[in-house]
Amino acid sequence: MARLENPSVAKGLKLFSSRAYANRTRTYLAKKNKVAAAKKVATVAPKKEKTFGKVKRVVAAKAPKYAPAIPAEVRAQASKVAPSKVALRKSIVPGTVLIIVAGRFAGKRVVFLKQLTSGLLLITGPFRLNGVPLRRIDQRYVIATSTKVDVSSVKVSEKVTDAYFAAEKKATKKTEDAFFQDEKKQVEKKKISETRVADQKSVDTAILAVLKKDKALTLYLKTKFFLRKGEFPHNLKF
Amino acid sequence: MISKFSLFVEIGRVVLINYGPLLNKTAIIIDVLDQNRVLVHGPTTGVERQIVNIKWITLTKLTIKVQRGARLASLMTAIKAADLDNKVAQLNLVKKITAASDKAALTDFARFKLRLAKSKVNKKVNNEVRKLVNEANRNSHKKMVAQKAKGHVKKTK
Repeated sequence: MARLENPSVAKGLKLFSSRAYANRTRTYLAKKNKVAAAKKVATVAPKKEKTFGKVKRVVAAKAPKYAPAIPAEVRAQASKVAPSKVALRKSIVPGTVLIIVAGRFAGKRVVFLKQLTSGLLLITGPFRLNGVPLRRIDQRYVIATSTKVDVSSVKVSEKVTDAYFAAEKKATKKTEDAFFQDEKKQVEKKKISETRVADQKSVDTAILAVLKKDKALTLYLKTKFFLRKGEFPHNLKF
Repeated sequence: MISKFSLFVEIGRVVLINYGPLLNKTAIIIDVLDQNRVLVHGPTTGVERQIVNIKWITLTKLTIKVQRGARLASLMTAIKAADLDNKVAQLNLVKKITAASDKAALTDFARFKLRLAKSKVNKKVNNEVRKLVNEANRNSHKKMVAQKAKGHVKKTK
């Protein structure tokens, strides 16, 4: 990667601070690679009608006093930093049994399927065993165990992405009728879409077929993790 | 006079280190320096020749024949002649330590399986115990009834 120079001014003192230097490098690169294709568009100053006393004349509008040193497009391009891929903990590979540490499913032992593009982990209970559905979770909220389930035969459909889990947007404006019916609506139970049920089922059957061979492992996933007397998580081996 | 003690700090005594970085390692006393300190060495257990406070060691019932201040070669031959490593492994004290470290090394799943196995054994034991207790209770009840009946007869005499 080409870099700009950052000459040293004195012993231990560089011309630019690390942040300023990084910014300059980024703009430099953006310029060099012509990502922004920053062309100097010869802007024709828009004309304006102005009155001088009684006479009306068409006059060119004043150009802005200060022109930015770096074109705006270049700046915009330079400030865009591609989100880096979230590194997965080494101990987590597809099939790893995870212990959920926080939230509604705290203590449940679940199976890791894959990492989504957002960096979140795609997990499943399986739902039939412990009630944890296909779900996303951050790796921070998880303890990775050394136990693994063979999930090579489990195929998660391509449509299960981050967008798949996004909540449906509700209509923000309420009609008058809807406002008064609000209480009724709250009583109604949230329905789970059929596609999700079907996806869950297909994943569950595949995993359960694998788990059928190991009764202890099935029981293991069924039971919750908790700390017993004299057990401290930092002393335990998972 | 018969001594109260059966284990002594003596040259050739196999000891267990119970404190510090060498915790749970065994060594052999090579020299006794004073009331508080001994020179120990455990060439087969990773304990370098060093001075250790007596408070840091636990005496075991094992001794081997070595001379005071024995050097490495003669110490090794003495250890081999006594088959010390096997004997040390048989000590109850050492057995407990290895069991504890084995248990600490279990993974979450292994711990779970251990719990399953334990509950299986406990169920069977409890069943048998319950059977015995019930039978004993029944017998004692029978005895009481019989005795009462006897006593009743006596009173009427």
